[in-house]
Amino acid sequence: MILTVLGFLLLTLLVIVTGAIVRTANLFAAVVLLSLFSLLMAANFFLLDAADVALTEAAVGAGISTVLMLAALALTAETEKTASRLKWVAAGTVTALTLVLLYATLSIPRMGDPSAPVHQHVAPWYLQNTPHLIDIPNVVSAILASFRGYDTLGEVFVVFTAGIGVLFMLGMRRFPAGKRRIPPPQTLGLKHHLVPRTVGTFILPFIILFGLYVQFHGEHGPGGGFQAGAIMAAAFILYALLEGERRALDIVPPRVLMLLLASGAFLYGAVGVMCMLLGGNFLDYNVLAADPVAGQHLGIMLVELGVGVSVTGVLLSIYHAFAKREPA
Amino acid sequence: MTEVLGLYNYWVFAVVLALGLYTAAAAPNLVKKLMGLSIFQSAVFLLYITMDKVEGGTAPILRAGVGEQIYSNPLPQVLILTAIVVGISTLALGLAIVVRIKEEYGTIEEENIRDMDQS
Amino acid sequence: MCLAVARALLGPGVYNRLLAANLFGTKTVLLLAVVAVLSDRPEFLDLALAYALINFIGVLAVLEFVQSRALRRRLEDGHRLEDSKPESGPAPTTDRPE
Repeated sequence: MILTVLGFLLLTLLVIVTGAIVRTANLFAAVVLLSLFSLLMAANFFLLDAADVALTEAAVGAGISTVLMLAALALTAETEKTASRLKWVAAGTVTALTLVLLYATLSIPRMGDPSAPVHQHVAPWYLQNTPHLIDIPNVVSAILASFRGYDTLGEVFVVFTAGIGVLFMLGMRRFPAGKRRIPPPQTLGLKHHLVPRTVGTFILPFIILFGLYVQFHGEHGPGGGFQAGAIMAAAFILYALLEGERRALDIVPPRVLMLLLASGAFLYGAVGVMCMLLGGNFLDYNVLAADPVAGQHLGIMLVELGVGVSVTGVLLSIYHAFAKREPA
Repeated sequence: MTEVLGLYNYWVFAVVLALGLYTAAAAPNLVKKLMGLSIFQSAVFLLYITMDKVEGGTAPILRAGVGEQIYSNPLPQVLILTAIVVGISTLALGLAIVVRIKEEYGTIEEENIRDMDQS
Repeated sequence: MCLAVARALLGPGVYNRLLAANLFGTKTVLLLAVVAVLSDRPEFLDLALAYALINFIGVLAVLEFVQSRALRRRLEDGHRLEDSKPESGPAPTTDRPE
């Protein structure tokens, strides 16, 4: 009961924060509010029993999306300058749409109704058969990497393509030498501030350790490649924030980033092809080891590793692409 | 009372979706538009995750040694989990386009860009 | 939590918002921990841990942004002083390909 009330409160706050984001013309404030929005969203996901999703949203929404948004703001502008002429037309249309949606909700099953159509189709099968077919406790990981491995392969390639797209747009050029007297702001980092630097260097190894834990414990608890990739990328972004772009790129040079970006997706595909070579279907891990269940374990581990490496590479190179760019 | 609580998530979904759509459509600033899209996307995530909840259930991570236990539906969670990461990548792509527009046009306000294109 | 949100919405100024957002992050960590225990799955404390670690990065990013904003402004002013003709926009628009 208390959880229901809590959910009610959080959702109300969510609507209020969304309204504030829409209203404010100060884009910087909007970014701060967006991070709040994401925290609220993640807390809601957790209340709705979606632990894995909450972890993903936390890793992506609270850290990386804020960082990327701010990097983009630094390169563009901080405030909205013009007002739209079509405001009222848009508002009218959207209100009408909302009313239609609200009317539609009246006829759908209540939240949590066990007899809702969603819960009748394949989900019970997954829940029942995961223990003896794959034998890992986290059904979400099992579905992600094994039952619906094709989907995930597709998603990894979408992420990969988006990363390539950003690199095409913004490029990964080396620093132009001696062009400016003042170094570009993003290369400076927070080197000169003692407190963030000390605390940051202190928690950095823990974040990396936690990322590895999430990666390899994903079969037993909430976690997996996507979350771990986001956490690892966040850790390296933290390093770049603390020590400046230049040192971060010395540690993980662009060539290594490219390698990460490609090798993750490649590993995923290669596992699939490997299964075919061993006489199974594409991404059918049963044939990877003598025992089908052990094969599944191996396959899921490799595939999750591929996802993690790929996501780390993509998010990190996206960040560097933004951070290295000089304001026009 | 239970009626209201059972539908409240969907109402919040509808309102947040509408606010996101409105921002994406009406905001003159391109970064703000992308924020609107991101809100819109999150609203859809909320819808999916709301659907996965089963009364009295718990997160679909099987626990040994517990007798009969209801688990929430894992399938929407899988879909949304990947969608979040895809969402941030596509958002970054959008931001990259905006940054390039700023470099070429010197502004990210829709109207100014249109004026420049016409002149 | 409501109070933190109120401060984040009302401002005034960046620092109030930022502090509020940070406070809210901390409260979310606590909330998750409490919910994990309440719903009888203490292993989900992992999530609270993740939040505690990641939240810090967001705040640092904002700090960096504010710091570099000061630099950016100085840079822009410097450009403006260098140029003989006063420019209204921060970025030159003349070199746009036709």
